[in-house]
Amino acid sequence: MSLQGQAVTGSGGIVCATVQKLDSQDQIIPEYSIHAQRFDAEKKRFLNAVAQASQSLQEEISALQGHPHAKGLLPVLETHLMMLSDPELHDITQRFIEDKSINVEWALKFCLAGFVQAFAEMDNVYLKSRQADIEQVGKRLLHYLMDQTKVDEPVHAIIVAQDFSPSEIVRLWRLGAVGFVAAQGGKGSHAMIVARGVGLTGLAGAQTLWSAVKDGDKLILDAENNTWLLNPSQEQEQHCQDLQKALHDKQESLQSYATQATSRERSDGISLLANVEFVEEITLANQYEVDGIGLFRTEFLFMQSAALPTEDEQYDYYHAMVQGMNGKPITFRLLDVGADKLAHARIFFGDYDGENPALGLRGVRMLLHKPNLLKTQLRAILRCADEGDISILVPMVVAAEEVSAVRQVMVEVQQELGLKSDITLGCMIEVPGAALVADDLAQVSDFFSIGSNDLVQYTLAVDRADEHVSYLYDANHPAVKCLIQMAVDAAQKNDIPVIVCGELAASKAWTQTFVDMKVDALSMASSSVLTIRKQLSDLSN
Amino acid sequence: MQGHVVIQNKLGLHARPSAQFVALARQFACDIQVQRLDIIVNGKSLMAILTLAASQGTLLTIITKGQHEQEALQALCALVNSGFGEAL
Repeated sequence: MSLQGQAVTGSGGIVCATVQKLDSQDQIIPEYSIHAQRFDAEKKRFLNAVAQASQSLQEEISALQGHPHAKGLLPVLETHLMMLSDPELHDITQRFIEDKSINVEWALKFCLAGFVQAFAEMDNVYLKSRQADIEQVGKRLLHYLMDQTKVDEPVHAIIVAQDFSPSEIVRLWRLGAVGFVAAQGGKGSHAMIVARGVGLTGLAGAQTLWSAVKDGDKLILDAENNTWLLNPSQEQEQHCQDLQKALHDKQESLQSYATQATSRERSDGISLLANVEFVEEITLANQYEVDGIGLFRTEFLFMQSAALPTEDEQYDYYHAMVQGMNGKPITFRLLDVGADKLAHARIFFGDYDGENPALGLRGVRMLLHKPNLLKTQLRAILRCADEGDISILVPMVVAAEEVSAVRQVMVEVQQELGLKSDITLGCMIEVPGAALVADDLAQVSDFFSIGSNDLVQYTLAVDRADEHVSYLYDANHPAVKCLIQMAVDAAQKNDIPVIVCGELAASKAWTQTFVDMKVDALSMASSSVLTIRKQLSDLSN
Repeated sequence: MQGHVVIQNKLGLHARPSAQFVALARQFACDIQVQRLDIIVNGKSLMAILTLAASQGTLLTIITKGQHEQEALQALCALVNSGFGEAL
């Protein structure tokens, strides 16, 4: 029976595929087609895995024999051993490799699903529970199969899990996954921002789906409307294909906006910039000929390390980005560990345990609290200055003194490195208090960058990642526009440029407002660039 | 050759009796199949036998074909009729 539901947020696109449901300890199972000449090699991999799994089981059995507490367990392990040599398991898996021209892991999955299905239809509870034995044997085999390869192999499924880290999203995208669903997460969740950046279809905040879906189910994701449909009927699948085609046609028609030429014809003078976090994301940015990177979030390297990254490690990461952009401007936002990323923040905070992290030691507050951290990051960034057009952005500012303090350290670093040209230093406007004193901030800053996500969050006192209150996260609240207008006015009065870099920049509904305000640039996930470029073009005609 | 048996033991053809059945079946070179209603499975496959979900009182047909088919049939029928040494 089909089942449908709504998610809190989506990253765009419509897809239909089978599901791989991951518990926290599960690995993603590779799924790909193979040529006939690889059939034998895949079958051999299967037999090797069976041999390895059998050997390990034998060893476990020997170790347990004679052990007083092993009485109940031994027959189970012996059953598993017998299953490993099961002629049906062998025949069906090897036949699937050939008949379906697929890799052994995928064939094994199909084979096991067949057995499991038979158990699911049983009434006898006692016999039904033997399904667990087959699943455990399957896991053991997959473990050895995937151990053989060690490299990342492609996967053609929709991956469903409780939550994804940003780097897991990038990995899924690299593996060619069709899509993903995170049971948790609300609007503006970090994983979603990355998914939009690389163009991977997915949903977040879909708890109902998590409890209903199982491995191998067919799932339709409509991340344009944030809906999902589990086990669709044939008719519904057809409808999905129609929607996909319509979306495809719409994207095709946007392709003519993939070049900068369309910006030059416009009179509004607004630059379109990309928000990025990973080097992988600049492929799309360059393909759409953005005018530069308006927001390079530098957290990622820090998030995935067990220790603070050294200056050289940071330099390598930043340098790759600078090289990839080929001289186009890049705005580096200094480290800002938001409240949603605090789980990884021990390396910065040590024993500091803020009662309320969203209002605690984040952004520039932490950088000034740990001057070495600030200086190391500035050195790593400024070492790239000769090879690109870079500027620095200070996050979470509420007072002019904070910008001046960062500038002082930056000037020191500039002198140490012997840089002649001045580096521009900008200030994030993402706290209502900063917008209210924007005139003071404009006098010590070279540009403003309005971070609409945090600005909305702090103005309305709503945690956008909390699904219980995320319905209150409304960028159209008049208070938000009022604060943005104040920041823009102050910037223009002091003759400094102003960029909008939150999700509002990618909202068609706001484009006219930003044109009227005469902002200098809009910075957004690359996947939104064509839509907004078309919108600007439509408005100027 | 074929013979009919009825599952005797209380818990039915669960993991341990199925494993006993398969272990015995694998000692013979002949093809061995087990039929329940319209489903026929490989008698040497534990996974397949388990999917028969044969509870107490279920009628099964054992089909043997090839070398020592008669001995195989007799031995397997005897095992099922003995209730696998479990409570009946």
